[in-house]
Amino acid sequence: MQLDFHYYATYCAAYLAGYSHEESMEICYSAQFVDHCSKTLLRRIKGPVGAATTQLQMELMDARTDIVGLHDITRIWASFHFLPADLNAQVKGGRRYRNKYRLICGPNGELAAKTVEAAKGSSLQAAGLAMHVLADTWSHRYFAGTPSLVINNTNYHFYEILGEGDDAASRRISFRHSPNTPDDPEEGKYTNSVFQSSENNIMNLGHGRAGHLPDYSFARYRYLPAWGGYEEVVKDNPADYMNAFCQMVYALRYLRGSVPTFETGVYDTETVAPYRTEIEEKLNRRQLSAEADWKALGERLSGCVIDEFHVREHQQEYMDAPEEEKERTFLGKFIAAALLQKSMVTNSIFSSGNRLAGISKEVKAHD
Amino acid sequence: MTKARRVGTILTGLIMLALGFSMSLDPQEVYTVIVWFLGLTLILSGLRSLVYFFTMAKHMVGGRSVLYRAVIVLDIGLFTLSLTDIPLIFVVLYLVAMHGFAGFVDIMRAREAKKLRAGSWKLNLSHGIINVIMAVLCLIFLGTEAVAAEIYALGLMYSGLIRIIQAFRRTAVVYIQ
Repeated sequence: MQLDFHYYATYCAAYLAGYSHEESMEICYSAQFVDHCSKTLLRRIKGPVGAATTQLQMELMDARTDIVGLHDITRIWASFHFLPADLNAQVKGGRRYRNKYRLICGPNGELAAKTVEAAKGSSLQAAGLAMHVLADTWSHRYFAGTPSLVINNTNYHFYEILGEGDDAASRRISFRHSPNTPDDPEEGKYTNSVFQSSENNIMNLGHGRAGHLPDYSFARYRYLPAWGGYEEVVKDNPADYMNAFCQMVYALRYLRGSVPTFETGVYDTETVAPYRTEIEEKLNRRQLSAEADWKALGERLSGCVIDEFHVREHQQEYMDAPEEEKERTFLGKFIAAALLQKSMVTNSIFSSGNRLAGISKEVKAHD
Repeated sequence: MTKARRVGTILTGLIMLALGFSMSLDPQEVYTVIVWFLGLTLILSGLRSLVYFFTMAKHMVGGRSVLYRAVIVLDIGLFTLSLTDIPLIFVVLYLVAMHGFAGFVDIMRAREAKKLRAGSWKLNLSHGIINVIMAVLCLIFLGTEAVAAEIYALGLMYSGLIRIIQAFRRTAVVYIQ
């Protein structure tokens, strides 16, 4: 997912869940900041690098893929962008294969519930961070947040589905490997990462081999995931993004105290109902970014202007704060939430007997 | 490319440059070293791929290609090692054939890369063409061992240089959000 959903759509979800404009801004800022909080940024503001929630392209290019480097990559990407759906999934194959398979991302898993529950009673930053993780479980499903050819690879059998119902037609996608050339949805030309036969090559991280298709709300496609035993998977992004949005509204209502429990598989379709048709139109529009659409809806809902996202917005406050005050700053609260989330996911992976994210120690909230 | 891989590629390039230079001084000895080095590298690579297939890739869509590649590489490695005690001319022929084939593969990869708009196609193409030219020249001068050795040495040094250049190039990755 991109800024359109993580920032503007999250704002809409927060506002519909009952948060004020100011609170919704803090939530959506935090949700988007997950895509920016790299080690480079944390070093610049003199924050703890262990709280990194993403890796910049430059960092990825130089990332080590030895065992320590792989642990680091997995902790970041599995905790914040590819939350594993089932850490005890059963599959044929040896331990090495099984461990990778168990990191495949998907919605409504046990970790998704733990993510939302961990944000309960915590800061708005924790709520925003949880919304990023929750939303990505829908868009990034079927891919794992660890470099793996045997899990994340795709092949020539990759078709975009155009139209709906009986009128649906398929168009084969021929990917190109030119990251600087924008995708062209009209012509069906998309960029993906180059095939690399090495299992742990960084090109085999997440959905790189499917390009940015998982990030586009309009995309519907069918393909053969490397792990799927030649069974075709159909990915319906408009439906998945709608579920993500309704689940965010439900989760945020839980965090706000409007509903007593958070259960997976529950979507707040009722609150979203008056806007459903409009949202479906936005999700289905063939465009590389739906920022303007979501921004317009958000501003109409609250009657307030949604400021553009500026990555440096809260950095000075954090840098200027004395050491003992840092945790009370905007970014201080975000960092605390990030450390907690990373610890929870890494510890869950470790406790399941899977060492791909390394050895972990559980960090409790408010320790 | 990771830092470790970058260092590895530069080291390989430097070794190739050194071997190319030594070859122009003492072809017989260096040919044997090259054959051993090439043979062992291929065998190890083949074995690694076999282990990878049986532990991981056999479960993957299209994973059988890993098995085929492993068997072919292992086979070529074993064949290469068997060439250490035959007349020099056959060793030269084999190495020339390997380089000619590698050049052909590079040209094919360059064509594919150009079609996919990847920036690496020019370097692949020039490397491929030089490899093929070197193979053809070696074949032409096969009768004169010293000249063939000189040409092969130059080709080896060129390949080493290309590897070093490749190590300094940026690798573009599709950025996941």
